Amino acid sequence: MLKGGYWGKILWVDLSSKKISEATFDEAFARKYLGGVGLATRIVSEHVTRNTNPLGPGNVLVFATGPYQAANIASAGRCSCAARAPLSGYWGEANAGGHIGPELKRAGFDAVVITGRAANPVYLWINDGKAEIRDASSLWGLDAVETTAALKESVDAKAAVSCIGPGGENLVRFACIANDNHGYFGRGGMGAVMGSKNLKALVIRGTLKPPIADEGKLREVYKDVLSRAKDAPFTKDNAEHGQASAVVPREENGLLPMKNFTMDNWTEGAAKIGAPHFTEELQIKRWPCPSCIMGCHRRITNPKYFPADTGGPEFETLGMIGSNLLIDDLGAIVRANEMANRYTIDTIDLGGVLGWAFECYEHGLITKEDTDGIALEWGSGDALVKMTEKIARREGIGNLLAEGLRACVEHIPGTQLYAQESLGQTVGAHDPRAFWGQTITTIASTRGGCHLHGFAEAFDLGALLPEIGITEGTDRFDVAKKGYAGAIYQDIQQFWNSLTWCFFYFFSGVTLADQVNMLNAITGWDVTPAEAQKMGERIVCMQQVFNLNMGMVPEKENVMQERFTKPHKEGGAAGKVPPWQAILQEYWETKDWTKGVPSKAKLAELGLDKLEAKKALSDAVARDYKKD
Amino acid sequence: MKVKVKFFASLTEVFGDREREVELGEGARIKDLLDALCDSSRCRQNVFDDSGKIKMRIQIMKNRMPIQSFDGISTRLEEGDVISIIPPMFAG
Ligand code: SF4
Repeated sequence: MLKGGYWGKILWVDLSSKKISEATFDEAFARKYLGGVGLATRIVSEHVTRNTNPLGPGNVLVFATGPYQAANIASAGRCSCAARAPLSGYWGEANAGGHIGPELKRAGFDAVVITGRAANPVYLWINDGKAEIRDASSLWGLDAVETTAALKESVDAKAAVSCIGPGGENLVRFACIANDNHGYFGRGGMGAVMGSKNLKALVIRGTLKPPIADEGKLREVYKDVLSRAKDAPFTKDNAEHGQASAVVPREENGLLPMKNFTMDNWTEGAAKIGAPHFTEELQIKRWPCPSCIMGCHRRITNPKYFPADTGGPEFETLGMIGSNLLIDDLGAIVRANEMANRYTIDTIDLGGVLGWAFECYEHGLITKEDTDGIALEWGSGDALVKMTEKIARREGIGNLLAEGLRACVEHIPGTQLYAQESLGQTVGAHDPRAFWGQTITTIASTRGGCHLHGFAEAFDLGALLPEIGITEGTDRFDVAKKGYAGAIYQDIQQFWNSLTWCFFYFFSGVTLADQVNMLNAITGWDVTPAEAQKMGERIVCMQQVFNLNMGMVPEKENVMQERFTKPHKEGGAAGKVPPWQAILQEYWETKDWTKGVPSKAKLAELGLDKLEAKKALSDAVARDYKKD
Repeated sequence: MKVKVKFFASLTEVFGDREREVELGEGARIKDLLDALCDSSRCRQNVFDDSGKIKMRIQIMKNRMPIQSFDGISTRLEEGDVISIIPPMFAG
């Protein structure tokens, strides 16, 4: 019996038939898949086949909470979202802050699953155990800020609103979903999946109290955790400057992307877009996720930069549409970020496709004739702003860029070097040459290019997991244990995304033991750190099997991007290239995967032998993603 | 000899500087520099752990390369070297 952390209820909404139903699950299921991304992986794996068009009615869009959303604790203002990704054709997942997670839990559901396609634009109203599909025709075409305001006014001012703007409606393959204009389900094109279903928004309000197994124990553990987190240096920096605090140090150690990852140094530029200038110039205020004590999200209060109704740019955005394009004009970055947030397009992939386009322009492969007269010159804030509009609206060359990097390279053959992607998704603003711990997440993330699927940069920096035997990190340029760490941190990251938890707290001293103690107080379980890692491992393994079922060939896809195989000449990563083949081999061995395919023994050990193994082992063939 | 020290993020406030020139004796090493810099208990607490070792999550670089690539805290310094000290810093 579920004692706490869950209702054991999943809301199912078929937009084609307008049928709304509920599915239930028991404690054994919860302990196996945990929640958040784990629960979503289970559901998507079961219902999506290779014939499912990511932008068709058959795709399954899941919004899932974990056990942490039952508790009113710092770090729990998060939610997971998953589907087959329209950007890659493979596993798609995003994790975001905002009110949707805690609100969905208080509304009496652990997750909501959306299938089918509505005949006309609709929104979904979920309120205290009930759900209703409502007409949204009048909202279609509005941006995320306008949509959120209209729904809060007409439905419930206190409701959480997760919605799409024109980017999602226009099926930009990297469209995101805006949560209360504050957090974003950024990666993989989850906003395009919503758009393809004619689903403009979820509006959620809950007043129910989710069950907690041992409230007293939770408060006791949490009090201790909170007191340590409050005093951590990272908490201070993250609260004061948000993720902008990392720009200048990351330029110093060579991690920041500069000129589509080709430049070595950009010291003056980094100082112009990073903290402390960022904080002072934009007159930044904190904008925390629910219950968060850090509040890394930013609210811009300097009227010179208005409208600024959405979350201000964070590290990935400053990196990908700032330094990556050599744009040091903070005003242009703020403007493009605000547009991307309103139109709901992911700023990482925006920076990725523009990096490719700017480099093509430099080499004469794209000209002003292709861009309606816009000069795609490095450093041009004007080009950034104009192209953001074109992509969201799919106008002119924006229609090509909206298809993502693989379509771009297909359009101009021979330009793969300019496309920093894995499975078609742009890698984050983390140059793996500077932190070799980032190798696995850069080349072998199950959701494609990503900086967070095994954030072993943490291992390089000494943020360790002694509870499961990782008591010492290795220097960022030391190959030792990088593949091992890539595997274990990937497992742990998926455990976190299933709790569902904000991983920044790990860097503020909240240990794996703390996380497990809170989980046990919430659920009444006796999970150990080792079991937590196994839970994460199971989830990653299921995602890998999902990708194999979709036709992924790991040996073909898990390859270092050519650009990262040549060293920088100067700067914080001068002369360094990660020996990625050795790291990948160690990663596969740690996982017990043969060339990326999980062994039968491993699948059995993880309890995955029945459902997933047969398909995975018989079905792995090369896949042409365009013709799928 | 003189070396330049660059402080980052919260350490600029702790040390009261973004950059500083430090005069050291010939043959000085990173540990000598840190001793010279950490003239208050607050500075020490931000760089060293309770056992006197450099905190794991602090990055110290000589001419932008981690000191682990040289000789750790025994890394020798030379005239004109630039030392960067970065506090625990994660970005995602
Ligand atoms: S640290 Fe940032 S992302 Fe994490 S919960 Fe707080 S505001 Fe949200």
